Amino acid sequence: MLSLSKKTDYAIIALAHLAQNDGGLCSAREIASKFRVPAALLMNVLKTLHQGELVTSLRGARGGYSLAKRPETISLADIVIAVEGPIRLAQCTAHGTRDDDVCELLDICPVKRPVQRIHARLENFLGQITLADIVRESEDTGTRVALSLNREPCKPTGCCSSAPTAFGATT
Amino acid sequence: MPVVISERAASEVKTIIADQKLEPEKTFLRVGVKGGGCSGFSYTLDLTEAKSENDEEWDIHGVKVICDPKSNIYLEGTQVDFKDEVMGRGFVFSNPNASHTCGCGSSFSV
Repeated sequence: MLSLSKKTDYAIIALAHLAQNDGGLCSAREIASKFRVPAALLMNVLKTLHQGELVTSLRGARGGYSLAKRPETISLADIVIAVEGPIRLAQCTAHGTRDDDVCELLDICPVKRPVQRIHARLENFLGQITLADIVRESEDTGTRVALSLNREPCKPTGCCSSAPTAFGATT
Repeated sequence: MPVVISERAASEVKTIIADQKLEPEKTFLRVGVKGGGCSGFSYTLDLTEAKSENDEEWDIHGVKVICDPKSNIYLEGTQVDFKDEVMGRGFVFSNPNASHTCGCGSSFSV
C-alpha cells in the first residue's frame, strides 16, 4: 500500500500547527496534547524535522519549536524526505542507487521507463504542494460542490434532481 | 438575495455555459439544498432551463440565478466562490447558517 507513515502524518500535523502559530514557539508536549498523538513519537519526529532543517528549536523551560522557513517554501516532498528519506516508488527509482541495491530485473524490466516517469510525476506533485497550501485547506470551512448540467425539463411535481453531467468536480 | 456569487464563480459558470453550447438567455444557475450527506443537508448547483413559478430569480454578474423558497431559508448569506488551487478545483459554498460541516466537506447541518 502506498501511504504516508504515521511519522509523516504527525510531522505534517506538527508543521501545520507551527505554521498557524506564526513564528511562536510550541513544545512537543503541547502539540501532542492538542492533537492527541503520542508525545514520545512526536518528540522523535520533531527531532528529525530539526535535523532536516525544517524547524528550529530553543532549549529551556520557555523553549520549543518553530518553523525554520516560510510555509510557502516547505513542500510536501521536503517533509516526506526529511522524515522518511528519499521518495522511492520502486527500487529502480532510488536516487544514487548503490550496487547492492539494484533491482535484479533492471536490465530486462519492461515497465522500468513508465514506472520511472510515474515516480518523477509523483515527486513533482509532492514538490508542488506547500505547507501553506495544507494550512489554507485546513482553514477553509467552505463546502465543495460540483456543478451539474440538467438538460431534462422539470416535471410538474418534482424538480431538477437528475444530473447527468458534473463540472468543477473537486478532488 | 440569499446567495452571493463571486465574480470568479460567475465567470466559470459562463465559461461552462459557452463550452456546453447552452443558450445563456435560457439557462439558469439553480442553487439549492437537499436532504442527504452525513451532516444532514447537501448543496446542489445545477445549470438548467427549467424554472418554476415559485423560484426567486436574480441576475448576478450576468448569470441568471434561481432558488426555490425552501432552499432560500437555508442559503441566506451563503457565498459561492470558485477555487482553482493545487489542492482542488471547484465551486465552494460558505454558509454562515451551517453549524457543522462534515469532514469530507460535502454536506452540512444547521
